[in-house]
Amino acid sequence: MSENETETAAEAEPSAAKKKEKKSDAEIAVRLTKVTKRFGAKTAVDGVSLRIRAGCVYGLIGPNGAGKTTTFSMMAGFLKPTNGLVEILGYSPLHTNELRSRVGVLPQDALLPAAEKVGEFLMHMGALQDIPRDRIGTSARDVLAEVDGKDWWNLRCSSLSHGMAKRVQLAQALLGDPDVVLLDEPTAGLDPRVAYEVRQLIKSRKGRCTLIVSSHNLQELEELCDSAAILDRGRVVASGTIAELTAASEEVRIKLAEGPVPMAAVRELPMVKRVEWDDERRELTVFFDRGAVDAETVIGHVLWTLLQNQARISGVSKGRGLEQRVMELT
Amino acid sequence: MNPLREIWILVLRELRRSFRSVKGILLLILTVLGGGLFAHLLAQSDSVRKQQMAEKGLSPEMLLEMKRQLLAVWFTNAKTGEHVANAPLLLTVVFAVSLWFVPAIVLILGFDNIAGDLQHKSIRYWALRTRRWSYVAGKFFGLWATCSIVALAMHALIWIVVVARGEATFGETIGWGFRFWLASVPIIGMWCGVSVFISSLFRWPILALLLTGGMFFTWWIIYISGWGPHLAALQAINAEHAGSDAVALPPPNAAMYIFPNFHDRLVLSPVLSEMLLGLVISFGFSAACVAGGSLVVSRRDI
Repeated sequence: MSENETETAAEAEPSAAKKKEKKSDAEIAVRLTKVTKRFGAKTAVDGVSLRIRAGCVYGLIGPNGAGKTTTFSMMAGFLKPTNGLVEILGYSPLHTNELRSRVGVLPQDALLPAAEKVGEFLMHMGALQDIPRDRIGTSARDVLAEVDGKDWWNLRCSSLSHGMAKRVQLAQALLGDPDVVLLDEPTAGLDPRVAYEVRQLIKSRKGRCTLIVSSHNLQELEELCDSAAILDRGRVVASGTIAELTAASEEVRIKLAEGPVPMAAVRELPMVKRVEWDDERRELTVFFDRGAVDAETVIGHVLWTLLQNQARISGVSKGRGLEQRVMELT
Repeated sequence: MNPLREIWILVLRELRRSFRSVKGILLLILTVLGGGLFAHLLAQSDSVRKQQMAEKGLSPEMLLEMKRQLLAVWFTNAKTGEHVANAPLLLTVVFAVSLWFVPAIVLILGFDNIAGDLQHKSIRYWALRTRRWSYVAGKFFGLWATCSIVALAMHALIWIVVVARGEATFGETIGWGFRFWLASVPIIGMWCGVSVFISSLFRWPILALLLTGGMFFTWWIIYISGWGPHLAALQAINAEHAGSDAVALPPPNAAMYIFPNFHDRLVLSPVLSEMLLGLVISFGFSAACVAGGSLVVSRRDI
């Protein structure tokens, strides 16, 4: 991303670059620098560097074994990197005193303490986060209500269903309005309705904090995230904004029903660089120069041309879709 | 946040958890009922013993002297034996017996203290909220407090029996009772320290249970085996000093020092320096175990 640019600027103009670096530091919520994690002979994460801007929703994407949970666990301080540096809000994840009230974590497979009541558990977590005593109860109840569990206060954690437990786990991660929230597979194993509610909840937090989401669910990540990193075999194979990753600002895809495919007419449009036709999927891909024109303008012109040529349009999308991009890269 | 406050919050949770868990409640009930039954049986046998002593024409002074000698041998410390001989016998016996039960209570309550959290990864909820060392310290103090409260419940039951039977005055009972209980607290701490340390080593509580139980049993065996040479030395010394009224005590066998309960000879001593030495040994040992556990937890991936 901008790492090389920053380093070049620092060499050219030290004092100005220092100021710029300091300013950009304040904007970076999470920074990983050449982080490696080995388990015996196996390298799970290999030299990963990431900079995650404050206030964004960031996705960690990759197939099983790509290293996303390991990367996530190092950010959360569960695992120690073999090499490299992990910083959250400028601190190592082991600096609990500086981070306890500023970072919330939803671990993927950590069980809630079975014998404890939901309310007690949240109150205990709130006390450790240094939430003022007179506000712990209110904060805990508010966050429980936010995950739609206001009636669960007196339930024992052992009696919660998987979906309820996941939401209580999410509540503890959001408790005290942290600046950075790390969510590992937040909707894994949830039924579609609950998963939708959880997604809505995450969306409602957008802009209030930095959210880092590790997930298999690419549609979900495409919907939620501003930026993402795609990992494969422990390395970052692509990173950037979702628009950059999906090439949403470089190509549009139009699905056509049975009927004419006026490729020549589309090709003649001035903003169009190239046109491809996938006969099997009946999909027309139109490439354009993102610096010269935006995707919406291209869609308007292309659709108008297709309609004029009696093409039957059944779908339009910007870019390739995260799923296709991940399939290409991993 | 102040680490002490962090530890305090963790201890409160541990106490709540222990006394609410089925394991904790059952253990408390069994301990109290067992203690009550034991106190009753002991009181009955004590009555028979007193009756027999009276029939044999033993004076209270002779009885006291016998107690002194017996306790001096038991504690391997003449001063402690002489001091404790003044306490009601029932309380002394219960103190000794309750200390023997302590390892079992600590084992049952403590084996999964940290290993359980590691196994279910629940420890991850605490990862960014507590320092790792204060998490371990909180677990230790929580377990220590729980076991000490269970021991107090057992002792308190005996106090009631002693007062009800008129074995001693209320003041004497409470004074000696508290002293015995307070003396057992640092020793309980040593057992808890070992349990917390071993629990921090494993992700599987069953392994922690087996190793803790195995270690406690091994220590006990070593301690018991130390009594053989010690009693032989005691016999030899007293054969040399035949005719003397006082019991001559050889130094304790080295193997006996390994057993935490053995240090009650110092903790209960009327000599301040000995008592302080006992406290230093027990608190130092507990602190070393907690430091070891903290080191393990802070170095390991959770």
